[in-house]
Amino acid sequence: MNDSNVIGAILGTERTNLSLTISKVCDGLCSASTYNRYEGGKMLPDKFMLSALLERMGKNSNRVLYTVTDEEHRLLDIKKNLLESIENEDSEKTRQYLEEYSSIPKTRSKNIHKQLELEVRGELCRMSGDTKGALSFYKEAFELTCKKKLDDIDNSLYTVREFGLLYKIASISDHNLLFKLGYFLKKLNDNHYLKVVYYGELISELVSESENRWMKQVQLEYIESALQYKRLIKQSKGVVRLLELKKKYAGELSEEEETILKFDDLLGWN
Amino acid sequence: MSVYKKSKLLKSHRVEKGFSREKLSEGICDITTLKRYENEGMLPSEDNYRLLQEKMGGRPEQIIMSYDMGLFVDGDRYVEYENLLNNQKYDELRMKMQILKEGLKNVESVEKEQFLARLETLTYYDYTKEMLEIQEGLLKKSVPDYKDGEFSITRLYNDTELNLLNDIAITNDKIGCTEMAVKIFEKLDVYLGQAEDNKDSMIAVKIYFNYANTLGLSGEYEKSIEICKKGIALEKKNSCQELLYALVFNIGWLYDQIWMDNHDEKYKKAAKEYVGLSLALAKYFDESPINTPTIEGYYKENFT
Repeated sequence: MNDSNVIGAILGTERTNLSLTISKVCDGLCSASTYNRYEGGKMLPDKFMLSALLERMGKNSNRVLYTVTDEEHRLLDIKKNLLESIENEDSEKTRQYLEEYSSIPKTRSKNIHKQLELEVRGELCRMSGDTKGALSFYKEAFELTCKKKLDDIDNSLYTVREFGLLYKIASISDHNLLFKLGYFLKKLNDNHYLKVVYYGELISELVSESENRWMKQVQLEYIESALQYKRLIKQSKGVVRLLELKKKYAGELSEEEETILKFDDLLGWN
Repeated sequence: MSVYKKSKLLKSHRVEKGFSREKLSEGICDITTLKRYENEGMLPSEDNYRLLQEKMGGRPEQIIMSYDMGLFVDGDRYVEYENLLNNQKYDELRMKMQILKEGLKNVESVEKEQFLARLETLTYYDYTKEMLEIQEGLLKKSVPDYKDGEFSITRLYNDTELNLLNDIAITNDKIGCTEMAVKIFEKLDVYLGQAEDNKDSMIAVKIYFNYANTLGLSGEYEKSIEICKKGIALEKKNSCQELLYALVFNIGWLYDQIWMDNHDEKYKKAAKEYVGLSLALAKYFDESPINTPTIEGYYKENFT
């Protein structure tokens, strides 16, 4: 079986297992006929496209081994630097890497690259305090691959980046959307990759944002459900923030929870 | 997603195998083209890349994925089996394997064979030379170059192969060949360090955990602590791991050993903190029913 056939078989098996239509999976990423060629083994998606398609089906694309072209490798390198500089809130470096990323001519998956570039522009606005500008870039980035989905959250599939953009849009401007996203994640299978990545974090945000809207009891229920999920999938990331919120609203924690909270510096969780 | 540059793979594999460019390119492409492939001046076609790799006797796949017919698409299946193994629930594991075998009886795949045989080995055998031979034989089905702890770090390894290398190192350690075990872990450490973004995988943390264990039990406390911290750092990603408490316990145990050597109270204090935290994590995340009481016992005995 050659590579294209392997990839095709995987995409096809996953898609049919989940009973998804082709157009739903590839909408905004590539045309249905191109997708058909991927599944039929007649064409090989590049690394960016394959990740996006697998993510839309709820898979963790980190578990896939893939060789890439040197051009893609360079893009991946810069992307890594970009994400790091954003995490460090370093706008100068972010701008520098963004320029570098944009200057490389992309031969494939252009929408996916463009989306990242727009999102980074949004991040630069956010860092400079221009929330309105950030929101506008996030929306533009989101709509690049998800044209109709802001109104129809429940019936759509998202890549990690697309969902992340929705999350940022909701955090800035739309509490109601944030609530819908929380509900959307809650309904997903426990091993759905979007849920693994975002559930705990989103619930923390939702609860913090709901301070004057919700009753304490409701906030605690949400926090507890997110903590239970973290325990179920054994994910330590984000536990501390949830525990801090729990302490704030419940007033006290169990002995184990206190111990975990006390040592977050020790584990480098901050 | 772990990614590897084709140019780098071609060049390092060629040098490693002792092929000249002339010899390798013969009958596939001209020598200048191969040079361009290696120097990132040109992108090899799918066919040429495959032919070149095949000629060097490596795995021809351009992409090696841990899935055959969708079986391994889900890393969660791996996690489920590993957890049964770690908690010594062998009967349940065997039952699940039987069902899996039945479902896959028409699937021809080396990885399937390695996956199932590896688990069988671990559930039925004790650590002996015989077990080591079986594990090495399994690995060689897809990594023919492996010999006495030597393996290439420029090729790609899937989760099953990494698990086998990890098992081989452990078996070596258990039968007294600690030096060999350390040698294998050192190479795996280099391999994991160069494969980008591969660190979301459970096996990466497991390798660091076992590497640290081997070092710790042979008295290399400081180095072992360093490796444990490397493993913990990986858990900051999105991964779902059950080894955090164990890595934290290891650090506590190691500080305790250092304290026994030098009686410097700061080590005893650090040991207490880490073991206490490990116990809290084990209880909170409802970890292994075998290990949690052991940690609790250790804490009571040494720190209260």
